[in-house]
Amino acid sequence: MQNIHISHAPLSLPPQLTALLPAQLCDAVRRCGAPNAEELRLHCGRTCTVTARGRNYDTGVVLTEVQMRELLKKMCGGSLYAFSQTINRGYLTLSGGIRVGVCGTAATEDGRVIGVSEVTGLIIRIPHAVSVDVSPVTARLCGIQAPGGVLVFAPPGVGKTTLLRAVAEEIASPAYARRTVVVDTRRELGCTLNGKDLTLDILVGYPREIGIEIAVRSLGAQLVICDEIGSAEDARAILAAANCGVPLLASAHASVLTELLCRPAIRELHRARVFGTYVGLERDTGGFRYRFYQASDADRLLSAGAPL
Amino acid sequence: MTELKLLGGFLILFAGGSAAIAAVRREKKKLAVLDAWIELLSYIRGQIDLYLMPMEQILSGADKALFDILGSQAKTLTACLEASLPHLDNESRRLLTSWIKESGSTYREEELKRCDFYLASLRRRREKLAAEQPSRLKLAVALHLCLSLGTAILLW
Repeated sequence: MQNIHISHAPLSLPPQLTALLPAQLCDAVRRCGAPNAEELRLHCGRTCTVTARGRNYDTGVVLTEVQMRELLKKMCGGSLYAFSQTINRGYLTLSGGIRVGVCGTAATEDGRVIGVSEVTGLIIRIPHAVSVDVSPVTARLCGIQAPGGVLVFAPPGVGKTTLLRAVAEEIASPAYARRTVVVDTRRELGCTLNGKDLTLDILVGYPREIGIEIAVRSLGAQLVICDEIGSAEDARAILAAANCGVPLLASAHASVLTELLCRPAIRELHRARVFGTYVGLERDTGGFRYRFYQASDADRLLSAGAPL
Repeated sequence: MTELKLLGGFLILFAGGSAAIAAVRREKKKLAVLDAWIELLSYIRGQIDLYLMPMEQILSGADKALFDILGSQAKTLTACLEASLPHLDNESRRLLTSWIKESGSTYREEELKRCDFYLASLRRRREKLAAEQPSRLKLAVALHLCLSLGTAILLW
């Protein structure tokens, strides 16, 4: 296990957000005194709050139903239909990789969400500029220290996507020059990866299983990166990619390794030795720290009878 | 004196003829603008149907010639409508205003249904205008020429 401290610098509201939000809300956010705001939680008929370092700060601003509807339309660039698929899945992604959780009343058909009306909550996650030392992860991916792919796990909002972005940028840079393909299903992973000298291809909006297949079969990837895996379809596609000898850098939701291995798809991938290293990401008072586990650590947990 | 009268009469007839040509051009422009809107709406419908593209991206990829006909350099629907208002009849204005107001506020299927409805309505309007156009052109030409001829005779 290895602990590495990562520092992160605070940022004010991104300009793309200030252009969208009502002026009174932007002022209230600045005035509420939240240091290094991480999330804006906007609710219809209830006070909007700012989350910073796990604490909620009251802004005193209450948005009406009409304001929420208008805000959602503005976030969609006046084209709600273009975001309907992700809104039905509970989120939309703004430019710059800002993720907005959407809460409302679902219209369903055959158990499938076909529309969301009466939007009552918009949870905006504010991205931060993070300075990350990712060389240990890239070293593992390049097979210098250990073979196989790398799976990063952490609870939501800790920084998995940020870590994946930093690794993609480093491994596709001239220093490593690996042909890297990012499967950016939720349109938030590849948004800042625009260096001219990167050997990088980004599949935007592709379902993960299709994206991975394209990356391996058509794009000649030496490394595939994708965010938030965990379904059976994901596992099937990843196994196919791994069988082609292409390592994968992925992330998944879990607090600890045992919790991660409780998920059938991840367990299947582990048994197939798709991942040689698991990286646990944790929130620290000054930033993040991450811990490395070898596949053998996971084996020990499984053989010790961890509750699966 | 007679030469001056002849010159004056010729100038009045020339002005009448020019006004008739301008009226003919205006009538033709009305149809061209409506055609451009129909083409733009069809293009937007296709892009929504196939690629679910946001309106800004759709308009940035649309044919520049369409915006030239509509008279707007800004590639937004509102700017295009404002620029083309003088060339649209009341019914077409009403249809386009409602479509622009409603567009982008709902999901794909509903958006496509709205596009289809407004496309059909605009096409019907276009057919009606095209059917009326020859008689409107004849009327405009006859009216301007008769007016100028009458004025020339009265002032002789």
